[in-house]
Amino acid sequence: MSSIHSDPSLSLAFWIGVTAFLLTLGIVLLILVLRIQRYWQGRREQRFQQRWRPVLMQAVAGDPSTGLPALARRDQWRFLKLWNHMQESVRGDATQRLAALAYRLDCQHTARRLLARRSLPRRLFGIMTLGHMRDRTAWDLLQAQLQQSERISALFAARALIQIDTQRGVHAVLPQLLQRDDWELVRVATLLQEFREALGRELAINLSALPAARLPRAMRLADVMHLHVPGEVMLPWLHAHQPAELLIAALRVCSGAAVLPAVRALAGHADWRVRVQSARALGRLGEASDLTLLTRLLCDPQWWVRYRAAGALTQLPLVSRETLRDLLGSLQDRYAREIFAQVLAERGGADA
Amino acid sequence: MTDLLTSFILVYFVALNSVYLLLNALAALNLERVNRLREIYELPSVQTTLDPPISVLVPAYNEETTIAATVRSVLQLTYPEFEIIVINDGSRDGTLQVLQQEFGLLPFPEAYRVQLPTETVRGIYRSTIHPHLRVIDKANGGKADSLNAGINASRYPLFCGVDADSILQRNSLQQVVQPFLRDPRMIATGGTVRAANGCEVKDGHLTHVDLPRNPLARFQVIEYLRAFLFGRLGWSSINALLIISGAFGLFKKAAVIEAGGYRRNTIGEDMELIVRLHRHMREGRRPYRIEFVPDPVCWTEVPEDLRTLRNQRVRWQRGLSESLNSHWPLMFSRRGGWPGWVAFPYMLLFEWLGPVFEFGGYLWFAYAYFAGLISWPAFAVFLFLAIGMGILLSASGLLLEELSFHLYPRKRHLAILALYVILENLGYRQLNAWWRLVGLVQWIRQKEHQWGAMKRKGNWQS
Repeated sequence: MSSIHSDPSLSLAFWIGVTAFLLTLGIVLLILVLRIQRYWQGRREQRFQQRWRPVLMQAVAGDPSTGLPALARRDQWRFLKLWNHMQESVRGDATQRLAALAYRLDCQHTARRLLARRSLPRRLFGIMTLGHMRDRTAWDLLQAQLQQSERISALFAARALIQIDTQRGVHAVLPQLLQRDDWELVRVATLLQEFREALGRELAINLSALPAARLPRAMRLADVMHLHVPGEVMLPWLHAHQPAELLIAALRVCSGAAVLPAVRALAGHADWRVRVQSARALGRLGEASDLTLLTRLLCDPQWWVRYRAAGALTQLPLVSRETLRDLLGSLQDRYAREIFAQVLAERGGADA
Repeated sequence: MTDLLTSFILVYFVALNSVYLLLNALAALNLERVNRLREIYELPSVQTTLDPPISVLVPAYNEETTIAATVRSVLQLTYPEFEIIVINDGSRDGTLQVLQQEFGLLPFPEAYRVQLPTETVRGIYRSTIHPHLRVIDKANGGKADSLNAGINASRYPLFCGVDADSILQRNSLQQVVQPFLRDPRMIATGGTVRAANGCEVKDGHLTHVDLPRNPLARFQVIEYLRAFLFGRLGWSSINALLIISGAFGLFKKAAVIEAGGYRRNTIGEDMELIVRLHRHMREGRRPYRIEFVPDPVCWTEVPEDLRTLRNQRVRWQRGLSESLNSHWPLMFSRRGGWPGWVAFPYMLLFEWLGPVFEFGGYLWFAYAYFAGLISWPAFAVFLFLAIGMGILLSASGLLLEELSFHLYPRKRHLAILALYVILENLGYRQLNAWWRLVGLVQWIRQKEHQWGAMKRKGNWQS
């Protein structure tokens, strides 16, 4: 031992070892504490579920309880989590009955308190609660959350606002939806799925006034959410001089016979990604007369253009299976023949 | 000279374990964020069905005993839209015949598109039972070549490479795709691979998690927690992850094709690709992210005998050597960032050269003590330090597991894991250092590589 302390490097190594040993003991202790804590939390959760789940189920089923048990302060957070999960799982009148139950338990006050918390999940549950309760008095608070840089809370605030007042909410939220690139479109589409119609209407009204930089996002939003945008509204953006990104987005959402000539014209665009979308759009909107144009696209140098053109051919109205088989037999270009045979086999339209 | 060498080895051991501890601390911060958001993303209304479609690639070589179960397991994944492409890499057993019988394969007239060069594709088949299942039959070219063939045949913008012996969680694709939804810069995400030994597997899916009975497998459970799981999460938090396990990784196809696909004639094709992606994106000054998903998404059988384990570790070390050797210019390059300035040098010093210093350290101290160059207290302090820090590190991995996933909830589990946290440092780590040293020597001697043959028991499957 004495020789350890006489050598400074050895002494340092010794004390590092001792520290490691003590830290290990600390970790073991912490793990044990965590296990005990988890055990007691589990017990408490079980008691809470036994008491409150039947109450919530009764509310969902439309069987209002005359006397509600008291909601202990320490159970408020658990209750809001369970209540929100229920709200997210049910539809129709049950949501209103759940909201009424929450009002009886004064949950709007708890939710407002949660908005001021630092913890993100607590704030989010606060926002969700106010939205599901359709609490109109919380409008300003939620609008302030909508402006927050934290994207998830802003996105949930957007939904809550639309839940409270669809028309006013959509009007307030749409500019943010188009501005904030940090809002994942897939998440937006999922969260706002039930308000598609209102969003589609608002978007169609505002589309022509949007700055060019925002248009591709607006069209991607329409595409992801399957929003209906009338063909006439789309026409100005279906011209070859528009940027490729915009054309791609516009071709994905355009609909109606009015856009067909523009879609056909874009089948010859220099950018192959535009040609792909043109072929896809023709599959959706095209007529039997587009057979020749799509057959030409089967010889495109890009695999994806050929593939989408072949797919579009199988979707054309009034084009029989025999016509498609005859077309396959008549194709001279090897690549066109191969891709068409593949797509026919995929769709079960020809013997592989 | 003796003092200098002794001090150097002590410093090396302290530095090695401190870096690991630092990574665990970074991982803890990252886990906190992940846990915070988990309860939000688990809400029914947030669960999206609009996830981008994925091509699942399953390269297979002589997998006739496991391939049908693997494909069935992939078929049961809960994901809105995906296709499965099994690549039979010139198997010499009945892999193709098993697939044909089990899934009713018929030749398919695919317009196969060569975006990445591969060995000759002999035929493409499609299942008559599951139209989204295709099988590519090709001449033998190795795992990387098979994955490249799968990429060529894939239809979707994201592809997921899966080992033919992996057991996937039903929601694994949903887990690993999340970073792609959140961040358009994402080009690759890796899932956590855990040891399946001891667990119950039914119809290709894990039904019950338990600890293995085999001591070697138990050591690996601790090792996965200590070195692979939370370490990778730490690197991920600074966008410096240099490896995504070949057993389960999701990639943006366009980025991989642009970087040249998987490199053939390499053992560690999974790590090599990730290092190359870092280099490619950084040299091109392109914004990108490579992320690690800590949730357990994939389970694999770990070796239960010394010979198989040794072969695996030797192969890993050679793979690491090849990956680092191919991408020296990333290190300390002007645009290297965290990967070039921190992760690469770390890999070089602690993972690549690690076995030299680790095994050499033990050897030197033993020699110096028996030769009378150092005193018994000095030798004892070295062992106390090296083993004590190793135990601390393993214990910190166990703590993180407790804080996050809590996969081993029973008291018996905790007792066994605690015991193996200690035992792992009393021989297993040293043995590993030796095998890695062998791998390093084999790489220097440039021995030929081949598909990693692994002896599997599969007795946890039913």
